[in-house]
Amino acid sequence: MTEPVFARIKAIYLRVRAAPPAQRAELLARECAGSAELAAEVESLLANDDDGFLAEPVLGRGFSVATALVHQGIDFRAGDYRARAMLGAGATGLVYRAVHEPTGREVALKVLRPGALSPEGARRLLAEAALLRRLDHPGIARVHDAGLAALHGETTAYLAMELVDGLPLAQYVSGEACSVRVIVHLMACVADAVQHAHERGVVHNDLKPSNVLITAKGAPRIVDFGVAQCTRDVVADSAGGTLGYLAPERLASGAPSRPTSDVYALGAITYELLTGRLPVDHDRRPGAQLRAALADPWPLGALRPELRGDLETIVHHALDPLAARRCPSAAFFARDLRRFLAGARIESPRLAWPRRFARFARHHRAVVGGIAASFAALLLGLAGTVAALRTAERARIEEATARAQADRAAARARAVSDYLTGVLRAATPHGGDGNPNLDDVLVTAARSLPSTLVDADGTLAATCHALGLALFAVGRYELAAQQIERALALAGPGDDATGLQLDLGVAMLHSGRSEPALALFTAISDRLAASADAPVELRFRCGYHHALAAYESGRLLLARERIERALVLGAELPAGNRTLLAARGLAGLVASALGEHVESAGIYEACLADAELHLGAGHPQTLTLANNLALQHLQLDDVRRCEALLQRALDGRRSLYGDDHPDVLQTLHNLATLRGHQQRYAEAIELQRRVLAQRHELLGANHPKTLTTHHNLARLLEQGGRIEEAEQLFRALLPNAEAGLPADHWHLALFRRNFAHLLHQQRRHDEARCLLEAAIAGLGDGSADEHAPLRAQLHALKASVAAAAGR
Amino acid sequence: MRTHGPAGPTPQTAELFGRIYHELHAVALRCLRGERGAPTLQATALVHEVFLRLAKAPDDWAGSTHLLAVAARAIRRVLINHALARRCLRRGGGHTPEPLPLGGLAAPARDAVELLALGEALERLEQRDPRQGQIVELRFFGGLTTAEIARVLGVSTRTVEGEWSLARAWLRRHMRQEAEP
Repeated sequence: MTEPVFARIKAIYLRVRAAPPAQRAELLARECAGSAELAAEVESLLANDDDGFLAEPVLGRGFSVATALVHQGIDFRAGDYRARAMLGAGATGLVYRAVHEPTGREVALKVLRPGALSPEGARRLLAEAALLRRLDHPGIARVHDAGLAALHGETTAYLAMELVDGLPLAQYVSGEACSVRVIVHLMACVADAVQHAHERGVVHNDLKPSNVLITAKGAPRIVDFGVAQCTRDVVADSAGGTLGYLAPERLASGAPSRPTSDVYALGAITYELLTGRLPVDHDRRPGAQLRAALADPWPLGALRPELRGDLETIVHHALDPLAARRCPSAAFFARDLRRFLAGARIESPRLAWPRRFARFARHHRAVVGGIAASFAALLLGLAGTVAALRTAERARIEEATARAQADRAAARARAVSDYLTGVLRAATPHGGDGNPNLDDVLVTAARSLPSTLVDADGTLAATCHALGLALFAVGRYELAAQQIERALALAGPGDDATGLQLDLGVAMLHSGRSEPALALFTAISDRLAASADAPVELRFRCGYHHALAAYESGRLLLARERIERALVLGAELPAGNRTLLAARGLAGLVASALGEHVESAGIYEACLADAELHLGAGHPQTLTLANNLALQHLQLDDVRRCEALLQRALDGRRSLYGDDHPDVLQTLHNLATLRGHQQRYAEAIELQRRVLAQRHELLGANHPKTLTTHHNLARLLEQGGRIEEAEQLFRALLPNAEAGLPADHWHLALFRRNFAHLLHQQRRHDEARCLLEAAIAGLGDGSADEHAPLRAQLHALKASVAAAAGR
Repeated sequence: MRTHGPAGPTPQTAELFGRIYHELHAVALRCLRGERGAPTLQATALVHEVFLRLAKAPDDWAGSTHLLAVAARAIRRVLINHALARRCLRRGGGHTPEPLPLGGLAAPARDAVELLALGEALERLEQRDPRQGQIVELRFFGGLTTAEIARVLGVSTRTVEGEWSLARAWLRRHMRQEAEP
């Protein structure tokens, strides 16, 4: 049937259907005028005219897209306004292009989401509208009207604003590829408008690039003034991104909104337009937000070196986390931006270098403190030499010689001073464009050392030593050992060789070389024991490290004997002595390794209390004790206490060292162990995997700590039922462990045993038996030593493997 | 795909349709696959989800009446495609990962076969009379009243009523003929 025919059918059908039923037959015959085919077609259609067919919408009775749209506020009327089209959506509501029906004027109608406004907020918004109407500035979109409207049974508020035809600020800036000067000019204009509102008692409170539109003439116009003030908690409501413009004091709950909060937003917008990123990276977690906001933003000049100087100063002044120190007004901000453009002197206070360094140091408090002390001692020593030569020595030595020596010493002091200043300068964020951190700086310093300093009179030795200690403090143990070893090689007869050796031993111990460290400590102990006049403290320190090396080498009974002897010496020291606290902690560790968990927890509890008293709760050593005590509680099945202690250690260590320090990793490792204990395997595995990756990178694959994590991860995978992955890990672990641990270390035996256990479970008895035999042989067949329990376990497992194989 | 309507197809409409369709589809999939025992998807909830997302789109929409047409079309497309997927599954063809129980979507369970037949018939109808096709779409898939449809199409209520009656009759007859062997 062709289309015209169909159109005719339609016409006839409609006419016939409209007629009363009685007249239909006659009408049909007349309409079809002899075409039987046409009549039959229309008749068959009429026969199918059934009201019940498709009567109900497919999505159910009562469903209507129109209703659904009204639900979403897309098609509705509010007051005298009729929404025409949607312009955008924000956290607080939707914006429409709407018409004021009495006048036909087009407006931007902002309708707050039902629920975005409390009744109190609605009242405030209406009151605010009166204020808003008074704003009259080319940089602010005018507010025409405000009112309440019913939207799908709920009352909500609307604001009718001047319809601004423009591009959002960020889009404009990137689209036009605006220069720095254009951006600065735009922001000065925006600040003018903000100042106008502030002077009339209106704070914007939600300034962000999307609330600034640039008109066709290139002039900025701010929309949404005063709205955020009346809506519920902006923090909770805002969807991604908005937080970045929120001043820290606004993040802290209950803070009243103030003009300076808008100034912060002006700074943040400028920062973002200039660098492409927000000054503060907000985590979505509530606590993290505040913490991040209180941290200083990365300097503008570090991201764009050409912006160093005045512009950087102005923007950071506006971004100061402390409102009291921040740029005081939008007008101030605008004025300074214009001074910058004119090349005039700005009024924002310059950030002093020490303050920048202080900001950096805040993140690395303990570490920087240690380094500064080492360096200061070194500099004082040199300065003293110069002074001495210039005065007392002058009398005895011929003047020319004296002056020459003094000059040499002064030159040396200057060289050291320059070198150290260079290091510290490099440590500040201004030193580079990337993300330099202290340990990178120290590593660089260690590399550049020979070329910048000429050795004379032990200067180099002292510097190497100081650098070694600094590297140690940031967890670069292997490099630290290298520097201290150099210092030792360069040291003259007057230097404290025993002190250097002890430091070297400690660095070696931490870098995983427990065997040579143990040998070194044994030698020092023997020497000290032979000399009658060695100070008690030195002998005590040596005893402690000796015990630690024995512990790390897996010689638990030797460790116990040494630590007990050391503690006898330590009894003469004050209770707050840090080495003494560490030694007491080690006694706890040894007890724990020997299976005496109750005793161990007791030792730790007492020790922790003393450390808190003498060193403070946030001291690294206190945190170490908390970390270790947590493990004892885990052994004693007190999960709650364990978790609390670990969390405390983790928070404290992170704030001291950042995220990738070995101590932080140690706590994370323990946290993973706890999760495993709680059978939260997925979490535990994820965490342990991260620790393993970082330890791998930081300490190397064969470091004892890396090995422990590696092993624990394999166990977690096994417990989590991921047998194949577990086996792969075990298989990779053994060669590393054989390379990294003494052949008779009990960890090695334990690793082999656990792998054998997994294989045994898989009925791979031959492989299991081989491993167990290796483990038993490795552990040695000592009689009643500390490893008797492990040895017994190995034999028992071997027996059951043999039994299973025999079946 | 073809776009019909009083204003004629525009690239913006096609893009808007595409977006609504994808949103609806994703939402429907998620809801239909949802946890066992969870309440079945409410049609309105489905559409809500979609518009909530669409509301975030910065586009200047052509207008709300146009939007109704686009939304109704999107719903039609989603439902027909689900029915198709179900049929594929029953025939063992293809690799549709999940059965899509259409019954859970609509308040009165619609047979997928019936829906497919309607879809085919509707396409035929559209070839003959696009406006009738759109009326069916707005009425049956969009759930609009006659008066609303009249406003969307810019015609009188009487016209809509007449056209709806004919379209319905034509579809019913077509589907009955097709159903007979």
